[in-house]
Amino acid sequence: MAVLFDDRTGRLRLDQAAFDHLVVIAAGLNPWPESGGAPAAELSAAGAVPDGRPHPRLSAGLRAVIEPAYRLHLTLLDDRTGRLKAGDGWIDDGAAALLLDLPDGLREFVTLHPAFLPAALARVVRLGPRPRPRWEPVRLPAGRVAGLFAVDPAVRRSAAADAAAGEGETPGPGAPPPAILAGGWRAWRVEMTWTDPGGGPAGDVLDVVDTGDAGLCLVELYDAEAALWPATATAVWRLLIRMVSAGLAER
Amino acid sequence: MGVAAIIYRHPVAGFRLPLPPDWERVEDARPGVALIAVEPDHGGGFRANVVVTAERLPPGLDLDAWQDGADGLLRDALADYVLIDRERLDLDGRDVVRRLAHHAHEDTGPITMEQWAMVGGGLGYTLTASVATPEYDAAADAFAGIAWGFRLAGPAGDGDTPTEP
Repeated sequence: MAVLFDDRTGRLRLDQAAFDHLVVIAAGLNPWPESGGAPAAELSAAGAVPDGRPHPRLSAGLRAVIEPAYRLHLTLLDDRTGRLKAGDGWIDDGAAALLLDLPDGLREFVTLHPAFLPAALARVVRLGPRPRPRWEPVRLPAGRVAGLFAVDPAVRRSAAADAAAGEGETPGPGAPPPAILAGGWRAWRVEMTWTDPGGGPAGDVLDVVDTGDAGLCLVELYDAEAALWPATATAVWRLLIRMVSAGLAER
Repeated sequence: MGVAAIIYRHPVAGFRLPLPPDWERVEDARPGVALIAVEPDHGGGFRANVVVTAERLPPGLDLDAWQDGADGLLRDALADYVLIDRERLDLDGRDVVRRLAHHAHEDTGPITMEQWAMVGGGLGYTLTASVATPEYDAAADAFAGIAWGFRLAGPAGDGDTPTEP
């Protein structure tokens, strides 16, 4: 176990168990120092919990974790590295807190203003300039979409091949180009959930396949069908902003 | 942000563009900055704005080389810079590099900046539209309308003969 805290920036690296313990302390459910234990000692030694309370740099983010206006979950599959990366987020009016996987098995806890959330997500998924896709939208059974986000690269490539071929038909001139199948692509999903004014569950999801040289594509799920829509990075940026704004507006 | 409704013509720099009629305008605020147009004060926060700059390009420097250099300058000069999109477009027969980027300033918070850069008469023109990032989705179509209505003097346009501001 390791806890690393930079009190200048507020960046905190820790494992999931230590984070869970930190949240308990922040919620006042486990008064310091009586609860003690290894996670508590590590948090204290790193300076993240001085004097039994979370460091002021962590307070706003932890408040969002404890009582979020909405929650966020991010998954990122990188075909080039074979890595699956995940992130969790909690957002309220004053702060957004992100807990992101790190390559070394730890997670990084970052607090920022909600207005900075689109840029933070763009950095994580490496949203950036891509060629403008020149193919038409493709429809496919909704059941095939899961394959595009499978951990196994072979399953993902097979699903991409199915998507490019359409419903068992020969790809026409509007189908995604072979480059979409060539590997070296990345698939990511941002899912936001909140409680609507009536008390019911509500949410929004953004699924993107980043094919690199073949551009970006949005994945939209309907009841039994899904569609792959060619998209520009500008369109994806607008959707990210819209999602973040909608989550706060729906409170 | 309102729909662009008036056509603004710079008196000497040889360009015109549509702007919302209620935006404040400052011409030639400093060398190279031909126009600053700012939305009305809405009681706090960053005010959306459009800035047009014109600079003399060294002989032989084409649009792509100029903009490759601009990418590096922006990355070095702006805090929290994220390049979101960059593409080459045709605007009324003239090659344009369009760039979308995010940056931040401690006084203004997160900003989304959209630029259209083009070359005419040996000058490099940059139209930069900026807005607070949470407002970009609502402003993007208006920005695009301003950019698509931008016209330079010279062979690909129909404005006046440009003069370096």
